Amino acid sequence: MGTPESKAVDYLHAARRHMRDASILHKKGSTANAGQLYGFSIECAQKQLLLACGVKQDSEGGVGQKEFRQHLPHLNDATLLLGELLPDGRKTLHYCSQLPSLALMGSWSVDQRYMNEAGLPLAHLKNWQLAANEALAMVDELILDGVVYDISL
Amino acid sequence: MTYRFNDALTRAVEVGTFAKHEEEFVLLDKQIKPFINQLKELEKRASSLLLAAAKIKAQANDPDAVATLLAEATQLQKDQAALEKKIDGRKEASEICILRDVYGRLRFAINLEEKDYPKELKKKLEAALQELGKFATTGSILFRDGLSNPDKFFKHHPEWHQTAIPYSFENGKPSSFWLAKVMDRQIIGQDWLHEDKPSKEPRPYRIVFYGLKGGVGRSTALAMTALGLAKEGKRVLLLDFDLESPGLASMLLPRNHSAKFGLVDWFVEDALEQVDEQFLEAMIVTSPLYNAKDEGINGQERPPGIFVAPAMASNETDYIAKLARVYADVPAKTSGEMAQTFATRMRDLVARLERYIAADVVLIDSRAGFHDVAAIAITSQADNALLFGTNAQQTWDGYEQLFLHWAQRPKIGKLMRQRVAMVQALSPATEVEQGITSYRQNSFETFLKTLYDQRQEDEEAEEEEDSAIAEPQTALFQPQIYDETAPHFPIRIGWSALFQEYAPLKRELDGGVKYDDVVTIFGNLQKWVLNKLTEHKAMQDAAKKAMHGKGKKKAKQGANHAG
Repeated sequence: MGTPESKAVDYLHAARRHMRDASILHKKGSTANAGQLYGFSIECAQKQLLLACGVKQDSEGGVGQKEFRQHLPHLNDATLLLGELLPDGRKTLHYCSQLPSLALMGSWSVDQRYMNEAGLPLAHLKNWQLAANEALAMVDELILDGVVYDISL
Repeated sequence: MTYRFNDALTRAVEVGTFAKHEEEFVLLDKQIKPFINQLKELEKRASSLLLAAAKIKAQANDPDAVATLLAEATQLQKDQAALEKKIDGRKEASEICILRDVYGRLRFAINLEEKDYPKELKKKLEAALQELGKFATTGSILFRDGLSNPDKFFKHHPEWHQTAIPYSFENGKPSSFWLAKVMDRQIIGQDWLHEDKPSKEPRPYRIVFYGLKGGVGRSTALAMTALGLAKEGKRVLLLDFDLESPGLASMLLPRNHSAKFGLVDWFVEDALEQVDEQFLEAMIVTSPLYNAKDEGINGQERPPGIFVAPAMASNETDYIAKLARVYADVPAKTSGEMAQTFATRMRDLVARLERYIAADVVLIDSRAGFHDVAAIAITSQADNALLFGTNAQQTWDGYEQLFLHWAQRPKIGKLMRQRVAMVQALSPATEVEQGITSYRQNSFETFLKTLYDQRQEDEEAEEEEDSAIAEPQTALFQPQIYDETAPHFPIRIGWSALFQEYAPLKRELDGGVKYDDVVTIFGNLQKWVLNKLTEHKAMQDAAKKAMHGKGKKKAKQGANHAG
């Protein structure tokens, strides 16, 4: 249980920002970039969880352990497989179990931002949106439990 | 002053209650007053329109003009109702709820956007929170904009409970309470506060055998109850949910004849979606304690019997490794659904097993102490929970804590007092009457202090009526000490040397205990359970009849429509 500090990295609000912008783009039909942002939103939520569960921070306030400095879907694998690196594995598992749609992010990749839109698996966009909604709901749970408590806007 | 766990919550509720009243005054001035003025204006216009309509009708009898005026008046009345709803909604939204996080720290939660809450009051609340020192959260007040899904939290979350917080004490006992909406975020123990009502679906009657302490003969009593029920022609399913200390299989099944899979196996395999009917079949073994053929029962489609689902499989070699995984939350099988907790999975397992074996009654051996398995079994599985205990101070102190935990959430207290019954375990064989009287008295006092409604002097009752936080009065639950149907009235199980280091499977011929001796010691309990089953059956039959009647009525209505 740490105290809130003002650092450059702020996963919680970044997750919400990406989600908000993804929703706007999605509604306007900009599905390719909406999809990218849904993924980033989930990454931020997961990294917020890792910090809440005791993973070391770097000087900027980001995830400090290199094993967890990854993108989806590898970030999720790392969280579950490298469980022994987490100071509070039981807590992590409790929150991870609230993300049933995370498995659907296998079709998402950070490299898709360089790709031709026609080749993107945008049929999966709804799934990515679902997974992002769950990730943000999980962050709400972190706040309610008091394991993350800086809720200032 | 350093606040501690208990008084920090009392202080937070006190501050919240006063702030709520204060906020209503601020609202009156700033936000609600204009609405009320508008409302008065609407009322005036509506009544003048109605008057005008009446006049036109009397003088000119112009139906069109009357209709127009009446339509306008109706619209005004609708606007008036909408406005009233808006005012009520705004007042309700400003209710100050308390959130206690997993570390015990407190925070106010208000179902409004931060911009809609008066700034001066926000400052006051924040200052009051800081007073609580380490029991305050830095994030101070949680408004709607502090969450991604505010409605899920404020409107639909099952963990909100109206909670009675004591604020004054007489002779060390709480005498007055604040009533506040509190959410307690806990790592474990949340299941003690489930509000599940017994299911109306037709299913077997479920009884949980629970004791605050082990070693009071709970499992033996369960086995002997099962035997009595089987002899009455029932199919009895026994579930060993004492996972940390499994024992039913050793007691009721021969050593080489236990189940292929135990309850812990189900939890491990189900998490990986690997259970089916064959798996369930391999979890249940018929106990030779009761043999239908020996009782002269042959050829019945559903013969009576004792069916045991042990915690641990026979020939188990890795029980501890499995047990370590049993309580893990499992992601939902479908997207968008809540994670499956141990509680939801246990509910699912019990329902599957009782259906599979077509049981008439299910007896659940629960973990002793304040353990989550016991909480789930009692609050969300049991039609009845039998609370075992000897007449020791430790028993009454422990049960008092459990009952207080329920009683502080009045809705849950009312539900649970209908569901529990005390069992006087290992009642001494000497000075029997004295022992019974003393146990009954202690039990009565424990319930009186906690789950029974308090007797109030008239003056106090009047005061409560005036109070803004008073709970609406319903019929009081105040059983008398000699009321045999009351939850405090103990079901007595006498102590007997015959049941020490007891081996139920040992036959009479080989020196085992005679069934007559079983009845002497456990007859009260057997009778009590049988009565409950009879009541349950009568209720289910009545419900079935009512459903049948409804169906007939519907069919008749359908036929009439078709005609």
